[in-house]
Amino acid sequence: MSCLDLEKLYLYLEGELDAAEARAVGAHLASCPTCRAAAEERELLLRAAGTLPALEVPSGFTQMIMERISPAPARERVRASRLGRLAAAAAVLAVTLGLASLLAGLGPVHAFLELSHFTWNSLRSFVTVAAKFSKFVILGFKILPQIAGEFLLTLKALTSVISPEAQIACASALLVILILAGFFWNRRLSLERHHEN
Amino acid sequence: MHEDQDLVRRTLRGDKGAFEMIVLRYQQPLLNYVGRMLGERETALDLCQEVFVKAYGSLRSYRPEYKFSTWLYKIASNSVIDSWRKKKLPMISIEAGPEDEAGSMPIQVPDDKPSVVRRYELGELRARIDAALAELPVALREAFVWRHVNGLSYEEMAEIKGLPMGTVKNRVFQAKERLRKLLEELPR
Repeated sequence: MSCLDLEKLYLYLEGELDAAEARAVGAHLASCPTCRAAAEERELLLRAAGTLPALEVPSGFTQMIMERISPAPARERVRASRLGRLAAAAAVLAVTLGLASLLAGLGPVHAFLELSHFTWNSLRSFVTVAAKFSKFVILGFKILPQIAGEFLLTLKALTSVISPEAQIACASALLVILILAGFFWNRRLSLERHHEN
Repeated sequence: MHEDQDLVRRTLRGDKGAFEMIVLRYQQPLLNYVGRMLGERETALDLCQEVFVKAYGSLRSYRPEYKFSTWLYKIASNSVIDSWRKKKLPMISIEAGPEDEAGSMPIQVPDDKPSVVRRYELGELRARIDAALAELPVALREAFVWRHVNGLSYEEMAEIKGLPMGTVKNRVFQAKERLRKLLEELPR
């Protein structure tokens, strides 16, 4: 029997031949030192190739891939940026207070007490002003019907002494003034919007 | 693998954890393949990430009658080719098989020449194989790595490349014999 085809020899070593072919190759190897030496050589090559060291996967590699396929949703990013702004504002406030307390020659505890006192006073003033404002609004609602009544009585007295023609002329003039005022007011608003853009 | 199909189904239902398991399962074999194809570790890591991102993006096009690993290796192989195209390497070395190269067939029968691989300890032999791999034509390198590093079957390789099984077997054979020759030629 002639020497083995090398491709067949590799397939034999890899267990890729069917049983009959494998038996025939095995029998030939037992009787042919050249092919046996070739088989041993290729077997060693395959063993080395099959045990080549794995390339190292860096730590965090999986996480990097997962971040690429699922970036943080926009809403979460907005929430995060808002939180960031709040945190930044708090930090600025803290630094300002710290500096102010240093400049005023106060210790941090003293500065905190001063701040608490200031906050409490501001709150009290705000509550007082709010209470007064609400009283004023309630009073306005009470006197509004009286003012309206007085206005109607005055109007009635005026119409009784002014002729109907003069009344029409006055009403027309008032209407024209209102229309002109509306026109100019609208134009001013448009100009302001234009400047803003 | 049934488990792969299950992980794909779960991923398609929105379970990101299932895709993470796919990544954990395949990142090492993919890096072994891409790293040995490209030779540059950082480029290989970037490309591996890209392969997983592409796989995730086109998971709906995966057909469960095929093995998931085969589908993933196909994406990886195309990405490797794209990467070479971007580097403007000669196309013949990327896509042409050794069967297209004249006079490339190795000797088909054993000879009485002294052993090449026995000259080295196993550790040294491995290092020399890794160095010699970089000298192999791309098609042969890919065939060798898939078969002997990733342990793919000839059927899987034929499916990935869309080639007849005989062609794939012949490529792997040529890769091994050329590699053996390169081991002899490389300076010690």
